[in-house]
Amino acid sequence: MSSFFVMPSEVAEHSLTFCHPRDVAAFSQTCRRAHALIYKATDQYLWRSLFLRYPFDDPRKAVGASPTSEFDWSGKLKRRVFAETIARQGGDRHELLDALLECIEEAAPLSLGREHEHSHNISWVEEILIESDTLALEPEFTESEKLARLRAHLALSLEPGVGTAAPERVKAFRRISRIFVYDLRNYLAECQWGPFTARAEGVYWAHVNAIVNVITMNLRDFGIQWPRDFKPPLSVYGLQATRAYSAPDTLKRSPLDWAGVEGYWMRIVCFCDYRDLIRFNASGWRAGFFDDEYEEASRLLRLNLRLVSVETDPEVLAKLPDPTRPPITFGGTMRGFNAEEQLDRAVRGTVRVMPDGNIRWSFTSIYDSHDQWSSEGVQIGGVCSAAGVVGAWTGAYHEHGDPAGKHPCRYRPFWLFKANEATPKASWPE
Amino acid sequence: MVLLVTSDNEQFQVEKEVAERSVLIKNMLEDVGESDQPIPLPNVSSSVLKKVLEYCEHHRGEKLPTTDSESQDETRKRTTDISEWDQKFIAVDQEMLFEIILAANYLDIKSLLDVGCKTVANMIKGKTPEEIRKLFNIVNDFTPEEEAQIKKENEWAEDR
Repeated sequence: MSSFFVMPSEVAEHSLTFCHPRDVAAFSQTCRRAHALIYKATDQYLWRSLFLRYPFDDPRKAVGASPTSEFDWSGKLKRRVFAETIARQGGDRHELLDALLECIEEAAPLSLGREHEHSHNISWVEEILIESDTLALEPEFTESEKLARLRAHLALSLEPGVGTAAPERVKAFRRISRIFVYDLRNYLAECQWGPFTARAEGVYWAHVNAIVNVITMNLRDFGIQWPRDFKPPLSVYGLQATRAYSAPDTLKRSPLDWAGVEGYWMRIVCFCDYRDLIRFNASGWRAGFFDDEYEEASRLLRLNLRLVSVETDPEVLAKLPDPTRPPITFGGTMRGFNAEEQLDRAVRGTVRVMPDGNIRWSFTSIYDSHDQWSSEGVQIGGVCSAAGVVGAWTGAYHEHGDPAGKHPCRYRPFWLFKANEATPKASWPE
Repeated sequence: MVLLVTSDNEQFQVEKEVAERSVLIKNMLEDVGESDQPIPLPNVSSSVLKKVLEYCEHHRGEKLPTTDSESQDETRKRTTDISEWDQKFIAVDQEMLFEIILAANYLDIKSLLDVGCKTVANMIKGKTPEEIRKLFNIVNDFTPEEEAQIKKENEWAEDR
């Protein structure tokens, strides 16, 4: 008998837990006994250990993971190991993108006392993207939503470059993103004016990604004139900012406030000159309309939000995609930074879970008790992520701008994110 | 001092602190209390116990690993790193390596078990199935059909 098999199976398995899964696969091909040890074990010890030691974050601790659910540890690990091969050598990119997105989604949420532990999942995804050309490849039509979703979670954090000095690829992203964002045909009543699919059943990631790119590239143009604390954390810290509960103070939120609504927020709004907007839309959405020198305006607003109520009607709750996250109604005030924008405006809105599981934020800002603008956005990353909410700010009386009533008269991309704890609180609206 | 008796009836006088690196011995001593009774170790031969005691002697006084799952979680990153002294210690022939692993498992010396198991993992690292067979003297008992099927089953790990 081979000396290896003098070890009882639990000790043999223990040895294999120190191996790379590829070595385990090679070992399984040596003989029947080895194969049975690896693929026919009665418990999950070996594969669970291989998975956690890879290392990946424990999916049992991910947000939304059911504590009772059985994990297919071997299937999950094999898909991720195979994804590495696809990234390096080509193959089915759906499998690659699915593995990367699943990994981001299952990244360990931040927890009290462990705020500074980094996520293995996020490191793994970043390493793959840095070392492969996954982000540079032209997506096939069917892959584009997945790639856009991945990109929206990155905010160009792995692709440096400013203005005309940026690499051609980054400049091209900016051009494409501006054309998307400033095309009024992308703001539809049917999609409830947000970056959503029809009837707002899901998120339209190509739109979210375009907004993220436009705002990120604009802020890069400002350089150090735009303080770091006023930048969306996603564009500063990259993927780590997508983890659940990574937003400041959300670990200490009140139990009803599952979305981390309460507290101070920053909001960046970008817009191009109104005349340009009209000309762009009236002249057939020319691809070259926004050249690399084109400049938009960016505004920073401060918000102070508080929870008003949480849905408790059992009939409403029974119909929700996630009954543990009932719709939240919130209120608050918003104030600009410029002298002429010091006037406080009332804000009122809701947070709810969309049919596709994403978290939707809808709110209106009010002047003189009239609805003025409506904002429709989606939370990027996990619940209470530092990455915040990305969406579209549109004229609330949408039908006025367009005779057919299909499009808004005014629309601007926005990014809302929880303010850094270190930001001085004195100047916040009441 | 503790008196240990091996399978081949050799006796070892060992300091309590050294012997108690073995959780098995530690528990036995706690059960019997203060006593001069020799402790029989019918699963360990004298040549292997000598090696094991050399390890325990070197690592005396070190903190024993806890079985707390949270702390295991912290150190769970896949690593086959072995300290320099341990590497020299475990540079033995294959037969002795597996004997040490078996003894560490029986005596419940977690850190020694890990050193042995990591050494086995390091031996497997980067090898093809055929090379692993040669290494451990494993006989390929698959039929050609089975072998083809198992190769397919492991395609996820192919690094073309």
